[in-house]
Amino acid sequence: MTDKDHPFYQLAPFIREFIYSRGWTELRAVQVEACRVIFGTDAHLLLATGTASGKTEAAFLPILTLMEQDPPDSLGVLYIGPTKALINDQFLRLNDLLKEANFPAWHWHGDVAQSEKNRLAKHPRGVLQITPESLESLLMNKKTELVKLFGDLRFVVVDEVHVFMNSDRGRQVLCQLERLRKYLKAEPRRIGLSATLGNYQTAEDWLRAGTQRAVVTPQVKASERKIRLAAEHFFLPTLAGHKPESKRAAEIEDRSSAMNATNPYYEYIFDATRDRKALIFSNSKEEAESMLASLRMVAEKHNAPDIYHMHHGSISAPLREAAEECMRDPYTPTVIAATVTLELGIDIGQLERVVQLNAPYSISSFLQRLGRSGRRGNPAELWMVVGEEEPLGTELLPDQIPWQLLQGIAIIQLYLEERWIEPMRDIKYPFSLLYHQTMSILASMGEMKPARLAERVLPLPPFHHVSQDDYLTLLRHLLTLEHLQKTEEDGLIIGLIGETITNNFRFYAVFMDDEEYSVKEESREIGSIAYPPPPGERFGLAGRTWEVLEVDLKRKYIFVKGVKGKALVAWPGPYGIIHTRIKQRMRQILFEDTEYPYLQPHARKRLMEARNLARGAGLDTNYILPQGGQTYAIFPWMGTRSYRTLKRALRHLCGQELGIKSIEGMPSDYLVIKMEKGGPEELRAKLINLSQRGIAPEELLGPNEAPPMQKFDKFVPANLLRKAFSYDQLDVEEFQQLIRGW
Amino acid sequence: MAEVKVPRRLSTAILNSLAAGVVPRVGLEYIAVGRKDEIAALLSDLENIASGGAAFRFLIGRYGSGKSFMLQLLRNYALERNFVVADVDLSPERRLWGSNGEGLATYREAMHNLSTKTRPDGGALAAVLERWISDIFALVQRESILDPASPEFSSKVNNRILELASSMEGLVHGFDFATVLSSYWRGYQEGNDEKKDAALRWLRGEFTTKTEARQALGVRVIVDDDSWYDTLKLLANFVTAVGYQGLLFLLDEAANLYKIAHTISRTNNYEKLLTLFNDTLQGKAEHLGILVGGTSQFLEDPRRGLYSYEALRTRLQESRFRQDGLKDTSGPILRLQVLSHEEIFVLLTRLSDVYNIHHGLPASLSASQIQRFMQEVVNRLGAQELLTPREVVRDFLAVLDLLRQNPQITFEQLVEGADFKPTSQGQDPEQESSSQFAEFKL
Repeated sequence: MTDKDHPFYQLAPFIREFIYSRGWTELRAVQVEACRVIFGTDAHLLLATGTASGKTEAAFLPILTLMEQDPPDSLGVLYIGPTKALINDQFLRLNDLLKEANFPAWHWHGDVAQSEKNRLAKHPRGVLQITPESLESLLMNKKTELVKLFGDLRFVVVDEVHVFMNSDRGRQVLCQLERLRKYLKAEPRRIGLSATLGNYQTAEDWLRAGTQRAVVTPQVKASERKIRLAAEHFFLPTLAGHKPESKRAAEIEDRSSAMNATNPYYEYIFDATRDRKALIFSNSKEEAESMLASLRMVAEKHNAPDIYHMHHGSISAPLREAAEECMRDPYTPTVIAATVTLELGIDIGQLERVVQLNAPYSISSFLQRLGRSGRRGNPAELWMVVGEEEPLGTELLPDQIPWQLLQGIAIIQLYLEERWIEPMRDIKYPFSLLYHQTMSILASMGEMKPARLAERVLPLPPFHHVSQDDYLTLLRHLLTLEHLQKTEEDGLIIGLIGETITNNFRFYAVFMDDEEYSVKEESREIGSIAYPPPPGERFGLAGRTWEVLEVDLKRKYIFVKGVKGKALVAWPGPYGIIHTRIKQRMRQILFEDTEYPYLQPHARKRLMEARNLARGAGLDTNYILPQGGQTYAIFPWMGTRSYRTLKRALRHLCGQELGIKSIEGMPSDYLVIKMEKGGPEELRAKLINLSQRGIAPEELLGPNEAPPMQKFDKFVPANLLRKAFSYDQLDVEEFQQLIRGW
Repeated sequence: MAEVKVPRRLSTAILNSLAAGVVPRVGLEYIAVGRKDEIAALLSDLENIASGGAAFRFLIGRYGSGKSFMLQLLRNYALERNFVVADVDLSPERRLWGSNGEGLATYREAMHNLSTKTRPDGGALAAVLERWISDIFALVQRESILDPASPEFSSKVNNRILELASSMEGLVHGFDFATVLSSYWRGYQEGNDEKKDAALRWLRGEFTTKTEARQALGVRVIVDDDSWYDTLKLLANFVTAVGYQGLLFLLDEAANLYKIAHTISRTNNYEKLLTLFNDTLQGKAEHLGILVGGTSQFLEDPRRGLYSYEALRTRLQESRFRQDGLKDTSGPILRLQVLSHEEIFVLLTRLSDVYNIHHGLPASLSASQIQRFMQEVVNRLGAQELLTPREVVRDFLAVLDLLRQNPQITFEQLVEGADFKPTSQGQDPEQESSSQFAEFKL
């Protein structure tokens, strides 16, 4: 650091002293680059480097310098983080520095005392750390204080950008930043922090949305980080002689857990986590729960201590915090079984190993989970363990293929070979969010003419595909629901029913929080799940497979009927969308001879069997294979959206002509249909034909179908929901393009 | 009409205000039409107040029926008759009650707008206090032969001051109010502006903590959301004692209470309104008149209007014998009917006179031309749109302006031309949406 142009010398003297006093010998590469961008340009900044690379410091060292040179007359920095836990944790390391800079950090979320908030309101200085939900509440209820609080805001720091990018919550943040702008002197610069990002482009697009500035993403060469991967496969015990359909779920549970204690699958996971700090990621709560129960039994058998904790949305906050606390204690081994809730960057200390049950849904999720281990210099370590019911050899061909194993390998390979990560998908019609922002803006403004309201709402970045006509439809519907009311002067105000929604603290969140949906077969309750799948989808619960008949979002019921066939896991909610490239890579795995070094013996053997089976059956050249009688199996190798499109095309556009009686299958692996007229060639010809004509997405929906997907969809009129589903949940274009290759 | 002389000061105010779509503060009598019975009722209210009573009225009428006009008119009459007037437009930030000081904000605005005949544009509070003291000086001087510089004179004045102050002590917070008044007096005596300021700040509701007020004035309470109405009553007593006829409190845009999107908060505001209503009508308040201007939706909506609050509904619901078109000016509700076409015609005729006098023009438009203008407005907006005075008047003045500045075009060319687009109801050119959303209507 002798070069006087080095960014280090641009930092404020007290910061340089701080760095010296900490004994840091040099600024890290990412910190140097952040300084260059913040001091030298006027652009937004995206910092996307590995976990624990000092991103927060990288952002705040130069920011604090600028704040000292030209102190703002209000809060200077707005920090938006996805969880309260993250907000409480994040600035611990910076506290001394902030104190020295006389730049106080304020927390603002549901658990912060009112007196604290009042203190801030009196002298708004420093940085405000907030969740999107609390920011919504501020915008709605403190309109008159916004100028005082934020008038001279210079920077908006968004942490965990990848969490926001692809979700309604991220779109909510974009709306909020745009709404906030009205109260500010100048457009603040945005700084995005993220651990894993495949494609900077999409993150940059998100970060800059609604502004005129460019985004700079410094390309920092990450120090080579080692990762250790392992993938193993086990057959789960089958309940020979007992058809699950004939038994009550509870009974099956008893039997199966008695067998678990000796099953090698559980023994393996027990060994992998024994005396360690480990996380077990599962794609569903049910799977996580049953795994934990089995591990406890195995531990009991070995006289090992019970070190197991649960962490998912339905676990109460104190229990979750207790689990996090245990994990942070460096000396006691702890194992937490978790779902997506722990993907976020909550700092839970030194993790040795991550165990992944079955395959993750996406590469970004895989990387998030991998990134939870190996902090502070150790290699990241992820063990994927696939459990499969042992096929007897008499099943249909598709039921004999280890789909989860293939998916896991495909995800790992795509990342290792190409560093590919799913791109962000632009949602055209986020009507649930549109409802939310409409109500929020109206609640804060009191009364608005429809045109003024439209002028405020429709230009918000997430709504640029929404037409004025669609918006009129929504507003009229809300008038009939009494969520809105008209005044004598033709203005709109919040209606009497709308009041009960907007005045509830739950309104601030746009995601479905901790709500359980009760699953019912006629009047019998089967259990509950977290995300309601749209009608027609299948999911597993209590050891059986169910098809959704109807969803009642208001009463939180899901009506189902039992169906045959496998569905290993519960509906994964919005996280469960699988990209077509993963499916295509799975196909390639079956027909290449590559050996994957991370495969463990059982997995290698299982893959070899599967390859032989697939080649023998001619899966490399055929997409449709007869399975005897009128039964045909379809292997589409399509991601979730195209798969849905195919399934709907078969039902609504081919069903009549080909005499299709039933369509079943495992999303998005395969379909099994019964067809009375014609064979594979006719079906293929029909599909090819469909791929060459224009399909209006509406053709793919049943006449009265309006599947709700998001929290406030229950207040959106049916025709808009149909539109949103057909454009955002289906993918006609990709479907047609893939079919043309058949 | 041309012989009527309108002072230029007034005609300027009238024309500028109307062209901007707001009610002029002065000169209203030149353009007021109709409303004879309503005005008579309100004037008799003023007499009641002057003789020690209290009055409470709702002025109810739909958009454009002239509520604000009536309130302004009454304000002018009241100032003329030596009343002190405080007028406030309610808004989302200014209510009767609120958890974030919205009630106090209303009071502060009222104090800010406090007007007297000599200070008709607000800010009269300090003047009222000055007048109070100088009147006492004059009185003492008249009664005694003492030298104003002598200590006896001063103690006599002091006695008078404290006499009045202590007469307030029987009322809620009267003691503190009296303390504040005597603080002002002591500040005056000692030439201590800080003390006078503190007293004024207290009266304007500007103290935010009790500690602060205690240190500055030695009082235990401050004006806040709970006590502002009691302070207003004390003020009514005080200004009467000073020599005014009473205090008139005008609350316009009460529909803002109706629009509160929170049931509890809305009900609390209605409850406060009930307190005001009961107090004045049961004779607990003296020398105080309260007028509330609102829409009929605000009054009658059974689910969120005043009628949703049972206690108010039973008090306010009009006699079963009342029919549309029949006037009843004895109850607490004065309904303003939208001006008839004939009345609007009279209004436009007067305006055209005022306009011509102001610009020194000869009478230009004939009666049939004015009718032609009104006909054209009705035709273009469609029959379902009502002729509201605000918009018609604004468009009419615009036409007069164009004719005056462009002598080459005729009235007929202008009004019958394709570019003539009358403003429709509720349309505010200042608040126009950008063209992209101009057609966005439900």
